[in-house]
Amino acid sequence: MNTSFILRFQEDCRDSEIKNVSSGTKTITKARAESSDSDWDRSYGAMRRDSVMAGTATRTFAGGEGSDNDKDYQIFRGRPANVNPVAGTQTQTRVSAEAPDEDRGANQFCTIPSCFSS
Amino acid sequence: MLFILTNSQDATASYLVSILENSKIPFLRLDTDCLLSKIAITYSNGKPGIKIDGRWYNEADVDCIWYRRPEQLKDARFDDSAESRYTRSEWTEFIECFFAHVPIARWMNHPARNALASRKLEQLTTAVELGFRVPDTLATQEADELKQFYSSHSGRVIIKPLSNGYIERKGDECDSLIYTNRLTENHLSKLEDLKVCPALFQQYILKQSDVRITVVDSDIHAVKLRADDESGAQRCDIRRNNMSDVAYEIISLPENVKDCVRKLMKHYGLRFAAIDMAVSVNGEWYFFEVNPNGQWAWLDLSASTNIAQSFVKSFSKTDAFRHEFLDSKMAR
Repeated sequence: MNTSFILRFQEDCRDSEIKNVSSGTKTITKARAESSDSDWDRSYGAMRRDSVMAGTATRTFAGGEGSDNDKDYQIFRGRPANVNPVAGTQTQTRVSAEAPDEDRGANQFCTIPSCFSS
Repeated sequence: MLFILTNSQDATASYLVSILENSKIPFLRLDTDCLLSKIAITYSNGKPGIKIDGRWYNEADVDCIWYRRPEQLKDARFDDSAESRYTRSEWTEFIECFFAHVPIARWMNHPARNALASRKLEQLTTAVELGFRVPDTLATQEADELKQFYSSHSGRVIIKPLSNGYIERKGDECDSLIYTNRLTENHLSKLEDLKVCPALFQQYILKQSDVRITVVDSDIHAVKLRADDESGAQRCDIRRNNMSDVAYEIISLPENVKDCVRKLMKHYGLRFAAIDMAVSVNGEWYFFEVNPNGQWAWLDLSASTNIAQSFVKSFSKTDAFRHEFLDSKMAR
């Protein structure tokens, strides 16, 4: 899908930036440079963000009343580790870098991201 | 005891930890990606406990929690099976239950507070109510609305992502970024794709400079960021060019802006925030957004701020306050 208006403005991540992210100031500015200033996982809201909940759990409960647990409460936790939203495949090179502004867990009411978000 | 909740690759935490090690503040760094091998949890009739590296702690031992970037719990015993996911979920819940005993005031920041402060459009609404000036803003998927907005601002309009600016692709495919961009007439010639998804548009502010404001409890650090575009004007999105050409300058905020910042912190119940503002060429201060768990260590390193020291101060105060409080309780 490459149809929404905002996608017209996407630009490729440049390799030169990726290769220069191992340490020091450059790393940090890189991290800052590639971060947007908002959060990644906004799934605590009314609308689910991805298809996580469309899977097994949903089908299981389709024929009857759902469990008392609010599954959304589970999935509004963050993304799995090592899927770095800013660095992407650069995860390894950014080990010593400061992470982006985006706090993937910022929209969670939970302390620790759960496995349901992966 | 200060508890730092984060992951093992959090360089910001590592930076502050290196400073905390030279302070007298006792702290524990808990990296959620390698935590399970060294902790145990207990709860008995209203008494929660967590054992870390062989020592038990209860909720009263937690003077402060610095909530950084915890990730999903990891453990070598977990695989991709449903049972593993369930076990991990149970582990997560047990750990969260322990930390849920720690009053919100002892968190910097509590994740619920971060969550409430994280919606860009709501931030703008709140900012106006608190006295900030914000750019005229339109979120729409209606072509006519956009055209009217564009016209009313004489073509000075920007588009920016609402959720984030990163498109991650699988494997070796190149990922993409979306910066804040100027809108042009060309963009408006065909707008069918606007129907597919709403987009966020704002009045383009001709900026003198961007300003990053980092707040740690009562300390406010403000840094002016200058970077030119091809025409010599302040760049539309300061993050371009890897920020390699950004000039930093520590500044003092005008009292009215400082006042608004304090109100914002109070409104959201935040102890920490990174706020993005800009000063227009006319000297007007514009609020763009607040990042309740934003980054700051790059400013200490690039702009010579001393935000780390503000953290140390806050964590010291918390510690002192807690002990004072406990002492007075014991004296009674």
